[in-house]
Amino acid sequence: MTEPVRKQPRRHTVAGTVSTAVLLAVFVLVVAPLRTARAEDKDQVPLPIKLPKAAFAGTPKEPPAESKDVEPLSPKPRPIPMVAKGTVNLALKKPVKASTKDTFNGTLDQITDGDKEAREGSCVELKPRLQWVQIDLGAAAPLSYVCVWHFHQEPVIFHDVVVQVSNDPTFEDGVTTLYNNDKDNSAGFGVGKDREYWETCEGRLIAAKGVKARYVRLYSKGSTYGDPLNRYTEVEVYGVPSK
Amino acid sequence: MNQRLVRGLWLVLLAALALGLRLPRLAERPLHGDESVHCQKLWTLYSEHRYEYDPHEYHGPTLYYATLPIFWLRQPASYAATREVDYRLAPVVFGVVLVLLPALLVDGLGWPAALAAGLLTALSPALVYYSRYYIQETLFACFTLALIGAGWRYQRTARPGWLVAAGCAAGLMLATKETCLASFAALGLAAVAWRGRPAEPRLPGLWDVRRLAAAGCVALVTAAVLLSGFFTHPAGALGYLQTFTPWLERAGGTNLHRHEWSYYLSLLAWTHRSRGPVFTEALVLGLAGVGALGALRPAWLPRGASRRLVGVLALYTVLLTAIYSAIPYKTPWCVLTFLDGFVLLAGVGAAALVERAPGRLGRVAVVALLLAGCWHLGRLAWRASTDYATDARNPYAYAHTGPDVFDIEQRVNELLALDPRLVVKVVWTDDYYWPLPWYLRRVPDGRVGYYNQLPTDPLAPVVLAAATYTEAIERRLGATHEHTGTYGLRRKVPCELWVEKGLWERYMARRR
Repeated sequence: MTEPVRKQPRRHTVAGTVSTAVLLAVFVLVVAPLRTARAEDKDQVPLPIKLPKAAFAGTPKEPPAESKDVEPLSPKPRPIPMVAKGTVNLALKKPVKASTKDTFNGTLDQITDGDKEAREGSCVELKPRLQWVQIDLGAAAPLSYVCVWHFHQEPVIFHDVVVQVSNDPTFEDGVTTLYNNDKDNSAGFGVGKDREYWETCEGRLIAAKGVKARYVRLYSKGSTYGDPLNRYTEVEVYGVPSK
Repeated sequence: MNQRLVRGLWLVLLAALALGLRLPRLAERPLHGDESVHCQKLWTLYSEHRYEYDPHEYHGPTLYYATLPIFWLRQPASYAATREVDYRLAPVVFGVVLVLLPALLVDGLGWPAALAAGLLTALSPALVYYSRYYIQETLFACFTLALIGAGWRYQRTARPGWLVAAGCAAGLMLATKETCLASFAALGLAAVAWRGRPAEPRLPGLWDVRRLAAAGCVALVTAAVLLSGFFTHPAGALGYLQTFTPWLERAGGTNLHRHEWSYYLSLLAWTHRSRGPVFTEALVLGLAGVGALGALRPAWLPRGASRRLVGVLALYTVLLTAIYSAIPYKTPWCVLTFLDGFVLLAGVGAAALVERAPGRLGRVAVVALLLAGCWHLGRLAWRASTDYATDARNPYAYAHTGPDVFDIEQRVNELLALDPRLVVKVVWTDDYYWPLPWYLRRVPDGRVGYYNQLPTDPLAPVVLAAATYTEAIERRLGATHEHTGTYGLRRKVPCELWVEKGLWERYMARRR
């Protein structure tokens, strides 16, 4: 007769305890957040931005190389950021006003008409010196991004680009500055920390970080184009419409 | 009222109109690179009483000598104290004289045609734009018309004084632009082709060889006096003989400013870019065509117009336009060289149309249409010279400096106020950094350096550089200097301004 096999009692070792703790930690720190993120991802979509055709290939004749103050032209397309589901261009067809009564050429409604191609006559031209345009979104909404195309028929740099949002149409109260690349405070909003940039078909995408506002105001003071005019092809303001 | 007085009043009105379009807002447009070179050369002449003709560049000295009286009146203490207006006044004055010169041709064109030609000269966008521009072309157009006018007056009167005047005008043309040879050739050929057609009684002594030789001598002496800087640099006059080699090379063999044969004609006929105005002098071209018809069909000529003069003008204009169109090297200001001829013929055409209009009502209608066309030309001239002065849609604004240069000037001057011992270094890939020397003229002499490559020691409180050097400058000066802005010197020609950090902080402390 063979001896019956004796069942060994389970031993609780230190190593076993550590392994369990590690597994638990991995679950808590990695797996659980991933599951949560996946759930959140369902509410995130790529920014529904449609870029116009590139009007010029390559870089300008004498582009500044990498500099901490002027953003170089990138050969790669800009990554598309994720935004909340339901994000739309709130500025489309919305009314626009400006710092001057008369434009130099074109009409202000061109800024929100949806035509951002770099073709003749697709941009409005404002008179020289510091000028602004202001878009009324109709209602305050949490904003994710503002994208501005000043003029992208050829590579130019616009000066003193300042973008602000507010719920006050006069921009006296509750003003949030989203972007300011005025290096010498010539626009009067303080020295900006943002970089100058070359205009391209990608426009300038400016994060609004969820700030809730109804009005968007954009300043500029001429460009390197060779004349003193301020130009706007299109401005898009992304956010989820208020219910 | 006396006819002379009436005509005099008309001329005063024309001069006032011409001045009204040429004088206001004269300093608003930034200096073109070429203008700034001429400013520098005039200042050398004024301050050092020195002019040296360079057979390779810059043309002749008449522009500088024509500007001297303004400087004698103003007495600027330094180059820094001079303003754009001090220089540009000279072409303005010649632009106004140009408007009055058709009066010399009254008995060859008829008074209405001469008046119309004066009016069109006053309003022509090209003539207005470049009358506000410190380059030689307006003066050259003026001397050419003076030669035609004086030559015509001599032909009509046989008075030697007019021949001397014609000689002087030819000498001034020689001393203004080397391309005068094309004008002489076209005018000479046209005059020979129309000689004796139609047959007219010849005035005694008119073609006296001694007289003509004397006129030639007057021309040569006039040119030699100016080109030698009033004999301070006699080699200059001799150097003129060498000038044609480089100019001919440039005319035919360089890619610089190379344009299609039709460039000048399309420039005058129709330029429409983006949403800018249509820049057109089609009215002048169309009327000139009607005027030129008179040379072929005398019945078309207005009263008082000479078939011979109209024929000479038509052939001269066609030949000169053809010569300039055949040369690959083209710049828009050269259009002035033959635009004069078109304008004179347009005056004849306008007068002919008014005369041939049926009935009083028809004449009123034609005059009204012509005046509407003139209004359009004048408005275009004004817009081209002001709102569109540096605009890429303006065909006359060619390789023009952008308004950003005013910001560079202001920035450097403000920094200079903080540090009067400021040193500025300009680093550029070639010699096309002009007009920066003009805009840096307030920085004391010896404190601005120009380099065609990054200097071994680029340290200066202020560095202005072509964007090509950004990376190298960032490497060398990144720790000590601040990149304070990118400016458009010209379209597609960015210029970067670097300022020493300490100086920049002091500057910004004042601005906050």
